[in-house]
Amino acid sequence: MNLKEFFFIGIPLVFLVLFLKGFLQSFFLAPVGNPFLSIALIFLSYRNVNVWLWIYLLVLGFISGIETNQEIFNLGYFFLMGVVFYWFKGYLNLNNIRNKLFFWGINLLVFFIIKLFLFLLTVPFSFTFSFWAHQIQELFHFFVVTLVWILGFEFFLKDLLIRKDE
Amino acid sequence: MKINKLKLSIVLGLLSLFLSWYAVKKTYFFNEFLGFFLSPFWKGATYSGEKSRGFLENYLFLVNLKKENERLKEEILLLKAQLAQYQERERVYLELEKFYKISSKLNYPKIAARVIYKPFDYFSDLIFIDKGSKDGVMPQMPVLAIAGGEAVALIGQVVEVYNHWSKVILINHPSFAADVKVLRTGDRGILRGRAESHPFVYYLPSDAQVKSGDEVLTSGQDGLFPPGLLVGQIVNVYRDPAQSIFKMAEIASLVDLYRVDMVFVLAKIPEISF
Repeated sequence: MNLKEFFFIGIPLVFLVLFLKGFLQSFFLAPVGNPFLSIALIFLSYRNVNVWLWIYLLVLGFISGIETNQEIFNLGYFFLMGVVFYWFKGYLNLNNIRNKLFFWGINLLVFFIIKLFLFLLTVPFSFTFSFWAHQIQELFHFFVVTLVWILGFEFFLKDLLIRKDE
Repeated sequence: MKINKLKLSIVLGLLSLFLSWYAVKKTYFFNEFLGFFLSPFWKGATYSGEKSRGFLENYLFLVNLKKENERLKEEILLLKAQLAQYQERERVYLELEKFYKISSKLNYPKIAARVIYKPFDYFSDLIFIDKGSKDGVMPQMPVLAIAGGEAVALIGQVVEVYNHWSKVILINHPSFAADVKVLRTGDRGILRGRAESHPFVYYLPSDAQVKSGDEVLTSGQDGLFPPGLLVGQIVNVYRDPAQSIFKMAEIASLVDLYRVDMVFVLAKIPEISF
């Protein structure tokens, strides 16, 4: 990611998504996944981690965190995602959709599981079927909706991100 | 001057014809003659002129009418917008009036606030309101809303305060907790959210005779919420699976937490500091 991409693609995209998310969740009165995580995954799939992408990941993490009152967790997760991706970039071949889907899926699962873990630390949960059925339902919803966001960004940004060199 | 008899006779003949025409018909022969030839042109000219004029008049009229129509439409839109604004103001005013009337027994200042954002999440239920520290909002203040136009109910608690806005956790947020009691039986418990649509009251005595439909109020024992604030109604009672010596009850808030657009912060400073 470079300065131009950061200001002309990254930041406007954040505002657009912020608006869309607010609109959709007010319309459906339900959560609509985590589009900020989707943006981060798309940029990580197409770009090497450099200073601008670090900053962008932090911006995304912070905005995502404000909404859930988990700023530190989100900042940390997005930052760690950058670190892990920086280390493993050489081993990951994200040129085909299967590998990308795997990479995205793993990230979504890990993100949700950490959130669930933090949630379980705060609530007096019990091993009742209805409680866990509810969590599985939420996981499914989060996974599917966030994946839809990712695929949407992939569709709209793919050409733009492939053509441009850093 | 030599006068040609033929020409003279023609002139005299025509003159007598005109005179006799005039004597009989009382009109001028020339006019009749010219009229016969020119009338089609006159008609054509008049007709086309009239049509053109009419067209132009209609066109100008229509243009004016269109402009007038557009102006009126704009005016109607403006008036509709104004009307909607006034209706909204009236609604807010009525709601405020109702709230202050209902909550007159709560001896704390109330700060009316609008919900500016509802960030839906899988594990947290928050709302953002448009009042902050400059309006006197402080962390841990209770947040109320009108329930069914007849009562005020506790819907959450301020957790973070900024200059112009604040974050409020709703009663079904996992971090929310309040000491509550069941109005009918007086049994006390701890209300906690579970990031589900309904919060739960934990630690109800195992012999508590609570049942569906019972109203739950704040007890005031936690030092955070004043006593007697309506929270909701019990919808289900279970034996606590984690600690079977207690019962737990599922509570339905009397306010639709996801549709609320106006709330009231009760300017009550917590009696204990955390």
